[in-house]
Amino acid sequence: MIEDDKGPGGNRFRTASGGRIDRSQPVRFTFDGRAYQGYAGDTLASALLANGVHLVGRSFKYHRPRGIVAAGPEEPNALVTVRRDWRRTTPNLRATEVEIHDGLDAVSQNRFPSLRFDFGALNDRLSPLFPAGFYYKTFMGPERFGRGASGAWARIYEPVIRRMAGLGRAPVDGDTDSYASRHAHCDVLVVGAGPAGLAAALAAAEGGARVMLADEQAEAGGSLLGAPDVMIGGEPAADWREGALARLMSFETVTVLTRTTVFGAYPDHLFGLVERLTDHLPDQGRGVPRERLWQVRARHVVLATGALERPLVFPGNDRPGVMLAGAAATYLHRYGVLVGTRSVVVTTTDSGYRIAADLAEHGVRIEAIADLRGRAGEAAEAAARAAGIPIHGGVSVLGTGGRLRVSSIRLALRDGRRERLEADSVLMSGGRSPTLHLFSQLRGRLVWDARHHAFLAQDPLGGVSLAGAATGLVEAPVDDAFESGTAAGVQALAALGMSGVGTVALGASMQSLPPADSVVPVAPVARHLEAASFIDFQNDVTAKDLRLAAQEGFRSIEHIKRYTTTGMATDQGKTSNVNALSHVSGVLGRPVGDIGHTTFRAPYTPVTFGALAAECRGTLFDPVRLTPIDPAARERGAIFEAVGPWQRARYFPKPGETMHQAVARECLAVRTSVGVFDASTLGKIEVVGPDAATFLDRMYVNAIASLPVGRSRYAILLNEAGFVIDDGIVSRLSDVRFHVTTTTTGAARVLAHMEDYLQTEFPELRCWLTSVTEQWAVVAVQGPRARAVLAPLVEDVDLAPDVLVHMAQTEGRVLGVPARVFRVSFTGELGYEINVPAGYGRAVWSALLSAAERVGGTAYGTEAMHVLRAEKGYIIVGQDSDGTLTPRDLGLPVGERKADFVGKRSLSRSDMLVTDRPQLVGLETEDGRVVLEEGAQITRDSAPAVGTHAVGHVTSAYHSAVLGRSIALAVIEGGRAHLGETFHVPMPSGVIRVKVVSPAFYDPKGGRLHG
Amino acid sequence: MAEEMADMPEPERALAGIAAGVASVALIENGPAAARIVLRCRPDVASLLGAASGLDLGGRINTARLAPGCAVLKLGPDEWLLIAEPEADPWLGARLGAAAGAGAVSIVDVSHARGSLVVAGPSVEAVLAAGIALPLTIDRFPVDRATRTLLGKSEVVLWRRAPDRFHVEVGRSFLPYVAEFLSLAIAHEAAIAALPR
Repeated sequence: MIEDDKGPGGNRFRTASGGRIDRSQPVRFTFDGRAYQGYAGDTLASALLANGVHLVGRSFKYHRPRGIVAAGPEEPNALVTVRRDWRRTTPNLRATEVEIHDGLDAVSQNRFPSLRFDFGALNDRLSPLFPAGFYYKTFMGPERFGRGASGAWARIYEPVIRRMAGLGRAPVDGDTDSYASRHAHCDVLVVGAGPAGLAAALAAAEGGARVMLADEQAEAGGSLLGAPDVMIGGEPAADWREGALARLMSFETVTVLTRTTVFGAYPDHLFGLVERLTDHLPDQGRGVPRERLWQVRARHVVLATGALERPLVFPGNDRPGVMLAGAAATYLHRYGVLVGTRSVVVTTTDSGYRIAADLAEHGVRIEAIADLRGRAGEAAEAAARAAGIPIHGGVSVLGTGGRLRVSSIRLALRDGRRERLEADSVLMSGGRSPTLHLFSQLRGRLVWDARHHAFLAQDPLGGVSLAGAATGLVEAPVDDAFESGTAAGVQALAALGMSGVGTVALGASMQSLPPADSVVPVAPVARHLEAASFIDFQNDVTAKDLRLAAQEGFRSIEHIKRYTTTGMATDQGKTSNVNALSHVSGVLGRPVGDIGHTTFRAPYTPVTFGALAAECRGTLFDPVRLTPIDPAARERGAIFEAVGPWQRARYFPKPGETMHQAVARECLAVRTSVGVFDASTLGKIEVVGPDAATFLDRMYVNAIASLPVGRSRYAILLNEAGFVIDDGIVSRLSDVRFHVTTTTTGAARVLAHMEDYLQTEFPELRCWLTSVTEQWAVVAVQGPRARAVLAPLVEDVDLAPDVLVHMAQTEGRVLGVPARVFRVSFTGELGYEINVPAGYGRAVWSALLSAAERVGGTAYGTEAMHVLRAEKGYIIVGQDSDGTLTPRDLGLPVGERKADFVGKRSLSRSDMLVTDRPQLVGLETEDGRVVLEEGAQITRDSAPAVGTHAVGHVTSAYHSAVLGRSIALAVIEGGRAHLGETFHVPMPSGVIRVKVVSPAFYDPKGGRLHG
Repeated sequence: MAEEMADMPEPERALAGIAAGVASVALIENGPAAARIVLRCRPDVASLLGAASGLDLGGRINTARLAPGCAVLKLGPDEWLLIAEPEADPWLGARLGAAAGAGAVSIVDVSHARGSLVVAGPSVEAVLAAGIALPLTIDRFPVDRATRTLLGKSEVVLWRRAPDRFHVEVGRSFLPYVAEFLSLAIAHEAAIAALPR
């Protein structure tokens, strides 16, 4: 009957009443394919526990059965994969944070073939063979497999180990969910909406501050959600919570974010938050973002982040059913779930007694309180005695029994007797560590506090307040948390120069820390029991591993961490770090405070890549830039290539043409008739002002000051080191106005480079730089018939060869559109570059192309442009140069007659003058049909000995249609001294013989330019 | 010869008609056709130039001032973006040029280098905040505040025209990216607003 109604578990461990779950809303879900029922408000962990399921996973290394340990984000064991559909699966989710909904499909991880029977558990039997540093010591060879990336580790061991020691599997296909992002600013960011956080947010909001309150749980309230009997200021906690939230919501200046983790603190008080929007819903809806990334800049932050309970270190402490005592209390009061019916509480704190009494009152049979300390506080002990609980002080734990679930615990009593107690749950109360991850990320210093056996925030940090348990008020009454929160809110207001409404006494109870004896250091484990005493559950690190690391000479906790992997799992040691430190402290005989703690790093809990990428995916990954001519080129069937952020037409194939054929045809058309080319992506800068000529003269190698109005000059830009970083055409439109072009991909860099010099080196010069890259569409018309094509379409421009000469420029109209007409050539032919305002680009390109086609011309793309310029030996900066070549190396002018320019001094360094610097040359293969591979290495000898260094490399290589053979550009050490000599290009298919020639393959005298 | 030539073609907008969005969140549409000039000069020259041209070049950095037919966005100590009605192009340049005389002034026409979007609606701040890191609440970014900033991965000039309306100036080739980014941000905002609370 129960089975039918409520699935296999039947909610047998659900209390008759109580908790914040909605018993009127049953929720059906599956775990490892079995159907269960929980209620709205349950987490996967609480719902499984309600059905008596403790076994939820296998451990990382030894494949030991593992159960739920905690009730919050610190959960080390219960990692599950949640499957929405075949593309949307999320591995490694903490079952304690997964809210169940109808149809939730969760599976366990790291087991084969099943959770209850796992072949990998063989590792556990072999555990003596897996000591700390096992991987480093074992997987060293054999050498015959090679080293590094091709070695045995990468090829054999690592893939196998990763499969065995796996977490969940990452999904293979693209994520179909969408993710949103939001920037926000506030006066006060309050992290954590427990009693302290709520109080802090209220105080800050009442004082007029713009407040954001973020909490990782489904609803605000923190510890109050699991504490129904607590009173705040004489009011039941639940009522107070409702009132506080309602009051907060009434402020327009307050934003409350639930299901939102503040995962990182970054410079200047930037905080990263991830808000989970739809994971808890049965139907996520199309296009609804799954998560939203918040980037919040807060003037002040209140960390009300609470504290995390610590497990205790004893043999068999990792068996399913052994869990945190505070978690058991949370499951009871928040979810109405008993984690067991017969429990033993192992404790080093007084709160363990209180929890025991509390559970006993709710029907759990507490077999004993096993206190590892000598004695407890009187009040705690009295309460437990009143509940009839047997108390054993000064005990040690010898072990636990049970296979897939704990069934017993063995104790050594103070008087030497041993006792074995039957129990289906063992609850650990090891004290609590304030959650100071964000404080530490903000560069706050932590100091060891022996009274709390925990690290506490030491110095006050500007713009940061702490509140509640995060301050160390871990066992304090909730009124103290409330007061400390209010104080933090008031402190935030004061820091911001705002004043609170009314006055709030700074809680005197801030000083009333719990009595010193309430927490004692972790009781040492007998040496021979260390191997079964787990410290880091998620990474399977035992007390023995840490001892071994210390014995092998590791002293720094950072080294021990890396050697043993303790604290390096996805939970970053939330439950294990302090216990690891205590143990190492004991082994080394040094106080914990001297050893220090490992670094806290963002994120606090794992963050999806989707949230970090947010909108930046698909077409929004990066802006894709299209020229104004783009649609016309597409209509003409152009094939495109990416050049930096731009899409450029690469070639225009006619039906049936290969790229090779199309490019050959386009090149020949330019050489024999005319070609039309979209050069709009060229960077363009307008330099204007009385000192513009002086400025450009200082920036470029070439003489600009002497450039007459109406003329253009090819110009080379160097960096301070004397290396070529860009080139372009500088044109003088008037005395005070220049039109400067840059390479396509260099545009932004060159503008920044120039602006940098103008502002920092030459601030006295009166000229200004304005990017006009996007203002002008540029159509290049190149070829012997270029003038004939252009003439009928222009007005107010005299195209006569002796008027608009090569490297001259004028303004006029083309197709009636105001234009800047430049007579320039990157092909070696008679050529013009027509600049028209971008909005006219398409019309002008189309008109010029139609005119060109009437005389046998064609459109050409970047591939033909590359071939045409290589035939002339014109370089492309960044292809034929690589940022380490001087103008001299490239056979370009070096500005010897100019007094100075950026980079000139460097060109006279002795190293720049040696004769064997790499130099640009042309290469001709002996067999003209062979096209070299760009990047191929060049050697002197045909069969150089292994280890011989290459004397150069090929930078550009093409088939030249007009020459009927292949051509290449290369840089070769001292290359220009070797013209006519034979070099070798060794390739996998054999050595290619090449002859060094001048880079100007076609029309070396340049007569065609002046046609 | 000019008489025989075809009529001058109509200029193409940087982005063909866009109208997108969700009314309850925000709507995006093309900004008005405009002439644009980037004006650069030192402050002492600016006051002379302002007086001679009749344009108000004073005021605080990152504010916009409206003159008849022309808005003046002061984006830096020596930088103004003038956004004018398209017909204003010739006279505006000429007026400034005449006022500048032979002075140390840079006047550059960027009318075609940019386009603009108008984003307006009750949640316009939230929509823009998907991609803009600046505080956009009315107290921190009041009407007629104008600044150069980043929206996602694109540079923009953001100008608040009204409490619920922004003018976004974008480089011509970045306009499709910005329009798509904002459309997605609006869709996300609408979807999130519709989630059960």
